[in-house]
Amino acid sequence: MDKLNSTRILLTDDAEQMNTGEHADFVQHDGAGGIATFSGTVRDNNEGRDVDFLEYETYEALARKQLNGLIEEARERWSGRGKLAVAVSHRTGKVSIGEPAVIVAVSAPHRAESLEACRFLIDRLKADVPIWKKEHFSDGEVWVENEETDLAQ
Amino acid sequence: MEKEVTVHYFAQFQEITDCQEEAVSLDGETPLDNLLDKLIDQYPELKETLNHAAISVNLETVEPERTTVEPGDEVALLPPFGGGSST
Repeated sequence: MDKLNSTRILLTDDAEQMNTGEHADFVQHDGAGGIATFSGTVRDNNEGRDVDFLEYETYEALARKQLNGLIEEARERWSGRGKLAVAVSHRTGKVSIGEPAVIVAVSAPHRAESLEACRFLIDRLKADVPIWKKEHFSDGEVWVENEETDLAQ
Repeated sequence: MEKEVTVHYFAQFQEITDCQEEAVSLDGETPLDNLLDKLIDQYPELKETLNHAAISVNLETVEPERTTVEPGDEVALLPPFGGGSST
């Protein structure tokens, strides 16, 4: 495998697979000078309400397609400054407070493109990838609608 | 010969329809809007969220008013996304 340009996408209900260090290891190679990671973890409150846990659902075939497209877009955007290796994972099902729901890891020859591409991928993931989140409270539950959603463009 | 499209429901839509997917019969090529009207007749509660949902046909997002579907297609109703962390 061409490690310089490798890609891994996981959509998983397995908490064991959501390890930020393991994602950093996956994208590490001898040509990488910078590795940026982002992990989004489940917070115990939202808009003044106590959250018990979150539940995620995805349309896996379309999510993989959109993620592959975003990673290709990142590669095009930052390709002038070297290749990117990318690992992106998102949980499905019930996710407890404090657990990572999403991890993005990007390696590049230099720090700037790893940081910029990591930021680009997490921002666009939230807007463009079909993953739905339900907040469960002690007294109810609600599907969250992200105002950044713009799939239809 | 196949005469049905498969419709996938997610999140709120799954709770309204109480199913993940179902086969819907079509008489050949049909405007997507007609299919959506048929689904709204069956599940009136779909209507409100459908106004701000995206629709995909065979993994391509489409503009319903300019799209037709035919038997064998995979249609998905996609409520606004809420992925990522709670940021």
